[in-house]
Amino acid sequence: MAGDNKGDRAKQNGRTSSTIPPRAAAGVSDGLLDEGYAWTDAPHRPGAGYTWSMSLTRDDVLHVARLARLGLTDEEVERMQGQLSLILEQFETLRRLDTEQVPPTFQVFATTNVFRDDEPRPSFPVDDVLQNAPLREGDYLRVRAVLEE
Amino acid sequence: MDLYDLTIAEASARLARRELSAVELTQAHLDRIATVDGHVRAFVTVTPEVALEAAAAADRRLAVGERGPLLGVPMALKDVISTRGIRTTCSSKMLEHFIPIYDATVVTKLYAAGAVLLGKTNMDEFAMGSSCENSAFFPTHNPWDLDRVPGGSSGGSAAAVAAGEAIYTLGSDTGGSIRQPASLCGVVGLKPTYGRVSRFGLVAFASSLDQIGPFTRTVEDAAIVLEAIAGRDPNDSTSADVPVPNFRAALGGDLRGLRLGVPKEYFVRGMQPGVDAALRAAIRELEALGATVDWDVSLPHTEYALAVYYLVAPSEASANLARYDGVKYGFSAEAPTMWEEMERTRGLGFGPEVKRRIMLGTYALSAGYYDAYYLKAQKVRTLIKRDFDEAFARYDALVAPTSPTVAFRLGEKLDDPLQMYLSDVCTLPINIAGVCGLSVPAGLSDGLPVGLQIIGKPFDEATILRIGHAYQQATHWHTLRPALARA
Repeated sequence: MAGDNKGDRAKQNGRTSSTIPPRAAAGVSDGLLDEGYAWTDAPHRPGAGYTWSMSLTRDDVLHVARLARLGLTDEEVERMQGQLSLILEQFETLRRLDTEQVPPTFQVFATTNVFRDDEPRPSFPVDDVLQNAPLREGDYLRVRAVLEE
Repeated sequence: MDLYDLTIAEASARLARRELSAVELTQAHLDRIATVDGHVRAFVTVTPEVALEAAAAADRRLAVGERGPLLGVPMALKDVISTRGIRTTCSSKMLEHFIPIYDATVVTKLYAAGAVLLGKTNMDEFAMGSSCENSAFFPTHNPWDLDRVPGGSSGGSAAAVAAGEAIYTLGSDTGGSIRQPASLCGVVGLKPTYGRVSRFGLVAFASSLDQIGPFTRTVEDAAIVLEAIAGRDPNDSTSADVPVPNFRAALGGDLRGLRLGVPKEYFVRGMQPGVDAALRAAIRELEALGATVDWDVSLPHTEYALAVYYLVAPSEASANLARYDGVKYGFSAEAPTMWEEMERTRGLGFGPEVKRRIMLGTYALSAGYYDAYYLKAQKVRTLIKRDFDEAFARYDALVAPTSPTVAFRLGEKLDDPLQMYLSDVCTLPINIAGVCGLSVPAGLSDGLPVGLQIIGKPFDEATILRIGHAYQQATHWHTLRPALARA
């Protein structure tokens, strides 16, 4: 059954052998909660105040890619480093403004909580919900083990 | 006049008189798509069976005496708007085979009004871009010059209306994605006030900025569509509980008594002289129609809008796009471990611009940078919003360029993200402040369309529609069609 499902996924995605190197090869370690990595290589530590870094290092890019769970090729890392640095440089203009006394606007029309009555309603049929699932097992989504030995 | 040249108002009048059937009208548009879409490439998916079935149903409703401005009128939807049973791709490899299990609220409303869906239109991937070149499938071409871009991100929706492939379309506008392509394709585009139209079923890009709105040939048609899709929706808690006026009835009359302001910061460096000249002529026309125009208004924080937008929108996007993990739906790649699988799925499923924005947003939200980038941007957003509040205390609406340039060439800005971002410099502030904006065809420069942007107070779409309608009664720009239309 699992084999069939895999076949479905391959068909659905027009599947593909990856050209992205495994994370280890891109210099990022694999640990799930690898706090050690997070800042040791990053030149701008948290809590060091406002560091308006105009140019990102390769390690910065790899760190952010890891936070976003985004696999990048070496070429993409290099291109991203240049482009993001250039874009961040533009944001420097904001420093000119004194915003000490200005409140932030997270949404334009300050909406407070919106409540509705907690009335039971029918849910979507399970088959509908699972019809787009890459891998399915019975009435469940099939995923790889989160914690492995 | 060919059937594909009709406006909503004209088509529904002929349908109401039973001179024309919805099936005939729909078939004419399907034929038109077959003739020109190989060149324009506005559609990701064409749905002829769905369209003809809906048209036949509309004809049955018309036969028993039912009437409505959208009943039996064919339209298309940007492929970011969920349609039950019809694939909705966001022009991304990530959702290439994704089939929604429910309709967006705007779709439910349009179906109830008897709309006929012709298909789903191309866009920049996940609505990120200004040229439609970021589609993972193919670029859309501007019907006025096939070597040029239609604008973006709703480029397919704009091009479809310009090329006569649909009578109206819906798009979404996060930083200009309706108004800028409307300007570049010579059609009308409306971004309603934030909260005016439900976002339920709109695939999320930047939730505090996104709005759905129409592309049409006339302002009257835009009023008709807005009225049909607007209103509070229990499924979108950010949709506003504000009455929806009869927008069409508010049209008409001259502009006497209206106070208009021209924000000088919008006539930016690098603006093309032909665009500048067309806009000044358009604003003088509004003066001739009776409006009082102050040519020297300042929105002093305009220059910061680009930086604010490119911090806020990517930050929200990086959170919204975290859902694409290859587990629940969408593209999924294989790898030895769960985390590698997720990284590979996202690395292969997203295109370059989407990755760039996820990286930018993740960076701006990350520990140590949140205050310096994200929070700072939200504070400056307050200053930009205050500029509008102060201007709207003195003026009923603001008038400005929609885009500083006419349509640019395919490929021209593709490798230079900053240049691409600058093409939205006149539309971004409107989303940041949450107000409404309308782009109306206002002339040609080197044979390519120029758009006039009319910016209104929150929930006062009625005034900007009235101004745009008066302008269209006095000018002929909206009646021009690209040469392609005669091909």
